[in-house]
Amino acid sequence: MASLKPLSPRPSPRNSPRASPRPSLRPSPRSTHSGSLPGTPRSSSGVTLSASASARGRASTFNKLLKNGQTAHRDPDAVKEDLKRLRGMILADGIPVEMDPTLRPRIWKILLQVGRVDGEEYLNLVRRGPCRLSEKIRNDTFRTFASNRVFTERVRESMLVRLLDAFVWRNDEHHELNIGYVQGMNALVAPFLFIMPSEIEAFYAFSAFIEHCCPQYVQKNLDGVHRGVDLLERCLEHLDPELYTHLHSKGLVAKIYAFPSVLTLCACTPPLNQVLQLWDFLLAYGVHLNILCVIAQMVVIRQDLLSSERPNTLLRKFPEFNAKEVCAIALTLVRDIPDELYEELVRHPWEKT
Amino acid sequence: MAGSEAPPNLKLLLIGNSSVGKSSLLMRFTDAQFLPEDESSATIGVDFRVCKMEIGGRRVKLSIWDTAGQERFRTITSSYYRGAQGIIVAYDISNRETFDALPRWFTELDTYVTPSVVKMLVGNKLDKEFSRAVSEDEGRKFAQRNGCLFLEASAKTNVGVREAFQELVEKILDTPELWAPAAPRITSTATAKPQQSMPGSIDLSANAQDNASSGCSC
Repeated sequence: MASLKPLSPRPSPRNSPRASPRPSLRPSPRSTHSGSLPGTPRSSSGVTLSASASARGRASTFNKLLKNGQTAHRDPDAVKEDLKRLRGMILADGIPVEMDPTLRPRIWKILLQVGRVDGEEYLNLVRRGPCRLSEKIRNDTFRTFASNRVFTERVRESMLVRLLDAFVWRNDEHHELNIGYVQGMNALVAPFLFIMPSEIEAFYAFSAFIEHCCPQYVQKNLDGVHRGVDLLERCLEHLDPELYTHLHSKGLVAKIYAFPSVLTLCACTPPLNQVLQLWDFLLAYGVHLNILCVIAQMVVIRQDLLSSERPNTLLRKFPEFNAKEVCAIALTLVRDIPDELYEELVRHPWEKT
Repeated sequence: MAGSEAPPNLKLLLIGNSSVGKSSLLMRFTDAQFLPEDESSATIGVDFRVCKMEIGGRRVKLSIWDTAGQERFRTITSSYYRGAQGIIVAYDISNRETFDALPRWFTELDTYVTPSVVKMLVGNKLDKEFSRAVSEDEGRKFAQRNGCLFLEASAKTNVGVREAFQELVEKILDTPELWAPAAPRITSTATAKPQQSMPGSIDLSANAQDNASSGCSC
């Protein structure tokens, strides 16, 4: 198992807190808050090109960068530098998946430090058949993004079942994480099966994701999710007291309206292509930022929420979102969160309480 | 607004195993809709709806809490029992296991709610008569033993759903001690909202005031 992550595991602590990325998470926040970012071309070359040409340019920049990683025995500092650049590029322009669909799966594997996939091991897990929680899994798999035709054409239910069964088997052997299957995990695994070229890669990427990025979210009592919604509450109170007070006056607490968005890292909110883009950001900078992304989605409909006598109807199911806009707002929120609170935010998905 | 006699706010809870159709029952009742299997998704945490209902010329405001069925969520959902006046316990008549799990749900009820809270057992998915695994008689007997109301229903074909909610609410209205204590808050606005900080006591129905009162609109 350790062999899967040759480098230090857990991306979030390294990526997020004091160390480096947090400062880099604040690129010209003022301009982004106005909503001008989404359409603004900020191509890395600095040259304004036609959309497709700039996408092609970005794709080749990404490809060049990823090629660096294929060299054996690289200087760790150079690797660090490349990772930093990779994150920066994801943030600035997004991954040009339309130009090169292989980029996203490769990048996710790098960010999750999936160094090796072991087909034999996966097949052995699959051979064991249904796990102890299989019935629960099957209860949810058939209703996973089931109305999304593009998804169901690419990802069959049997793939979801197999992968989740195998995942439970895998974790039954590593009790220390205390992970099983929990409702919502079906939504978390779906993006991996959707974008990865193979089920095996999806399995290892998903496993790394759960076990290292957010193990606390899938604990028996969902401890991490509880902490997450609690932090969301506190962050909202700090960032937007007016909205916070308004929602509270209507009896709306994060535990009610944000639980699904926190547990599934927004995968429960369509459209899927925007979820994937949001996840590019979360995998690059840490899943803790999801909390701020949820707040950002509320900021987008802030006026409606404030003027509504019944904001619960707006938050029962979050409206479709634009990932670029949401990430941009989330970034501006990062800046305004007190250090101690941010530290807690960074740690909550993976740190044992 | 309801004039001098403000309608009581009632809190109902839907519980039962995962995938028995709790959310579908709720949606059928509040939205007159049924999502086909492939468009529904598992409830994560809790969901809720607010609606109004008229019973025997009396208006009531309902906040209905729909909880996730999986055990892992029970730590969350248990906190929502607080303040509930009525509970719908649902099972799937075509899935024996969901019926066999009922004693566990009733044990949980014993732990979290007072005996006077009205309970209604609903055998859902009556449309799956062809693969019935629990007889109506069995369901009824179980309900009798546990002192609760009983109905078979189908959220899909809209059978028995409205009746289930209606009967439940009627019984609650016949049990004034369940909701009468809340009355002082109509006359005395100075009274602090009771237990406002508890998740279970959130008065979502307060938000439903401007609703049309015909049927159940949320």
